[in-house]
Amino acid sequence: MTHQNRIEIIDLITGYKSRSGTKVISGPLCASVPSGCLTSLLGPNGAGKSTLLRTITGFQRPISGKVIIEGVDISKYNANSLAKHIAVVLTEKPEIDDLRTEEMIAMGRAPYTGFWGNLSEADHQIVAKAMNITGIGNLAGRFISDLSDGERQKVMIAKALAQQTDVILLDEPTAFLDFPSKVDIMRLLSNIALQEGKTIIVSTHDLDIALHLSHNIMLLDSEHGLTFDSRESIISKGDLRRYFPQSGIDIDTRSGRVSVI
Amino acid sequence: MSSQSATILKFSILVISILLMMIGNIYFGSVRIAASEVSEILASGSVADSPYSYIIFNSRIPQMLTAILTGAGLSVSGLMLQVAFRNPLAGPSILGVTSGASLGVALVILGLGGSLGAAGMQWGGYTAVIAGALIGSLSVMAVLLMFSTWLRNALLLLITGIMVGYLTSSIITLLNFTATTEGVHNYTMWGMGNFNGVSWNDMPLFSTLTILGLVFAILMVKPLNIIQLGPRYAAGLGIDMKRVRNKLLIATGILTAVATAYCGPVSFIGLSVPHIARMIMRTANQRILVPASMLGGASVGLLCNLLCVIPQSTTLPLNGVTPLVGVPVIIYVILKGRRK
Repeated sequence: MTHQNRIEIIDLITGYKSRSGTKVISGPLCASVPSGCLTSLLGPNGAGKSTLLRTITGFQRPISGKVIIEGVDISKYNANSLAKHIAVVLTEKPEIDDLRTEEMIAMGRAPYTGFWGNLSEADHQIVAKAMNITGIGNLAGRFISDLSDGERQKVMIAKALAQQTDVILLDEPTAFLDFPSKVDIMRLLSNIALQEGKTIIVSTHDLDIALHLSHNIMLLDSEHGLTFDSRESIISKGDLRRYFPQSGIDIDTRSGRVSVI
Repeated sequence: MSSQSATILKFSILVISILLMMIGNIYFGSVRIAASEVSEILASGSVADSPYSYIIFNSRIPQMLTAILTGAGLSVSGLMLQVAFRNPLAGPSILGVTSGASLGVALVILGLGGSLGAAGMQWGGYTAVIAGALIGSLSVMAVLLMFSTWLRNALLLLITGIMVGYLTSSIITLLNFTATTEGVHNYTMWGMGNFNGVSWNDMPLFSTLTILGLVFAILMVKPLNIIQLGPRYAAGLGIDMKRVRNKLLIATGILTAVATAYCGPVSFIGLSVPHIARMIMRTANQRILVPASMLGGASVGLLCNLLCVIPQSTTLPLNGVTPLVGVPVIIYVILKGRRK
């Protein structure tokens, strides 16, 4: 069964419920994200980008509203089957000594393997394919503690691919990378979305890179809520100016070029 | 695969080292018995027709089994705690779990006026000691669990564990102050640690509880592997880290309590052996590290027991020997961590 829209966000209010009351972070939010595209989630700090991603991954319960993946409300999935639909990549890098690249990527098979976590021949092939797609086949036997930050994020993306999910969510995966690595990672994600038909949402602060390399843009802030559209319409409608009103940044409504005045 | 055969070789070496240590533990003890005589007694298999055969069958063999089980149990506890708290310096004694168990034991030994000497303890007495140790260690675990939801920082949690340890020690000091001389003596002897507290009568309960803990650890290898990635990556793979951690803490609480009740607060084995296992195996795969820690722990337990009887005429306290093995390993781990 295929769905036109892989992710449906319906009247979603994100935030935290505690004994002292309810703290709303953002919402109500609505968006329909189609498959096979890279979407960049942009917005100022504190807009609730991370909270939104945590809510879509099911890591945090919404205050109200729904997130629908592949036609099913995510609250209906159990933890293991949700892990077969959504994979995550985070800013933080897992610090594990003596763990090889290949073993890290194989962690992505965890939702599929049995009680002991043994890998089948098919699992090994899926891991090898994930390494090929991300171009890190040469790193297979290296310890992850010896890799550069950019290489390490590619390993985590390969882990997400090995998880064979339709959706991959990345929470500021390029935050600590140098400029060429940021571009490299975003280009890789764009290719994966197109060639593997994945639905990828990546939150980032790198406005210019995002505007160049993603297919869709999701804008989020507390004032305007969530705006989702293709890269071209977002640029031409001038939505970016509403979301980034600070003086000092200019976004050209034709080219999408970000310039500092 | 060559790495696979290397792993098999390393496991074989661990098993051989255990076998050698077992032989050492049977042939050497605080009483000198000629090797030929030991072999003869073992071959005849008869118990208690001579004092020497009594020593071998009722002292050295149960002591050897105790060293194996306690060494394995404490080591795998250390490994589980290090993974659960994602901190290489976590261990049953550092986190105050051993002290919690000690407090429980102190309440029983000192509170009952020293009627339960470590040497002359009856079945009922040991049950009370085990219950005390279990309640003590699980209470500390509960406190750590509570703090772990507030304290995101693993270092702060470690310091909390150390503080809990100091607090229980201070209560033990107060108990000692008010207890009888005999009680204090018994408690002090117990506190030095030993592997000779498990008689054949105690063995069924002791070994059953310890083996249950060991089996539980083996059953946890897959979630242990995944929670190494941290709570959010683990959740992304369908594993609730908190739930796994609670299970691990209960298992380590039981293993530590049993070991502490019978052998005293044994230091450093739980903290250092997982690192020895990592050094030998050079992997983060828990499917290898869990059994390697158990085998390594058994081997180190036997080694420490052997070191205790070197002076022949007397037996050294266990906790006088374990730091010799543990401290160099921990210093190595700290120095290695600093280089990053």
